[in-house]
Amino acid sequence: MAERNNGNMQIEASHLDILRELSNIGSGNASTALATMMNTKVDIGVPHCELIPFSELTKAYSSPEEIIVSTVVQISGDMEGFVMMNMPVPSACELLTVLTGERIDHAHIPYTELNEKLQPIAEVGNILIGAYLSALSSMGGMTITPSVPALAVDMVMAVMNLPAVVYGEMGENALYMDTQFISDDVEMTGQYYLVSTIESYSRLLTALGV
Amino acid sequence: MATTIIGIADMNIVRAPDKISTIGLGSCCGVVLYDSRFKISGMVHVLLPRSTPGGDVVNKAKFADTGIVLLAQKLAAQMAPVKPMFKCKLAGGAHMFNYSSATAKNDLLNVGARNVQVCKEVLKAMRIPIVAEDTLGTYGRTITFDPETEKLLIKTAGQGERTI
Repeated sequence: MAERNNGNMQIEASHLDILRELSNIGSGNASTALATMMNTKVDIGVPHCELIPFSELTKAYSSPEEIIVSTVVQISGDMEGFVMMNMPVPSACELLTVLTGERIDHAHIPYTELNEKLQPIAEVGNILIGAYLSALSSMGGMTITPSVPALAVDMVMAVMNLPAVVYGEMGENALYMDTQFISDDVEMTGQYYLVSTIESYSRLLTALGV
Repeated sequence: MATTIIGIADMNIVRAPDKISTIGLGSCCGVVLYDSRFKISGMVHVLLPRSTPGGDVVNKAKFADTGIVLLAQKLAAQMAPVKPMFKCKLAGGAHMFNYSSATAKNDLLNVGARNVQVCKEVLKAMRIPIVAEDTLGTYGRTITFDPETEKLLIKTAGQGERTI
């Protein structure tokens, strides 16, 4: 579909619509899992699926230097790539407070301590990303194997180097596939991103009979 | 005095008193070339190590091999006919997610170290000395170079600030 180095990759508009719907279903499943875990209501926003320049990968944030909590799971099997779950620091702290009862005073503790306290988010992210992936794999009848989760608490631009690297091999644009999740009861928001190779998307579309 | 900010897979050139900066280097590398005699400097924000040999590279700033060469050419053009004497300061190439290399099923997660390695190979081949570097590690960096003082300011989320 796209050749390395050779300009921009192309994806048909109708295929983008299908991928958007898939990300909607995956995120919906993950958010249901989150709502159950937290015993509260979790809504999902309008999913995005578009080709954007690398510089716009952080457009959902106030600044490319904003510190976020990012969980990444590498996937292999019928789909290859990564799934990311990004949360602003206050949201991640709020989520842990609901789950563990421990308050994290994120504005006043040193970074090292904050980083340590946020490590359990990797496990939460792992469960949610698992729910996301199980929706995708059952729909497409595909085998998707997730790796162990990894966590980073850092500048959003530095974290979003990962999708840039995945798509950078193929062109000047990244396939931006995200869904926001929001809870009003608990002040919490975050995003899921599916970052997968173009070959994987083709395989997924084929599996769905497109 | 202004600061020019470059994006991912992007490059630019400034003269003192202006500064040049890039935000949030993760696995990417920020390569600064400068020539003390001219108070001129250029920066390239490299995303990937090597372009495909013989491939038609649309954006040369994206790869270490093509990006550094192009930046050197652009700077040299500004100094012509004087032959440039470049020096380099290098930052970035972090391993943002704490996967061990054994867990990582492909080299996408280790691209930071590859970027640094290829940048060094390219600079060596061009006989450009690396005066200072702040590379690898597990954290993002925002870097700003001042051609007047030839100092590179590095800001991080949790590892403080330093100047090299």
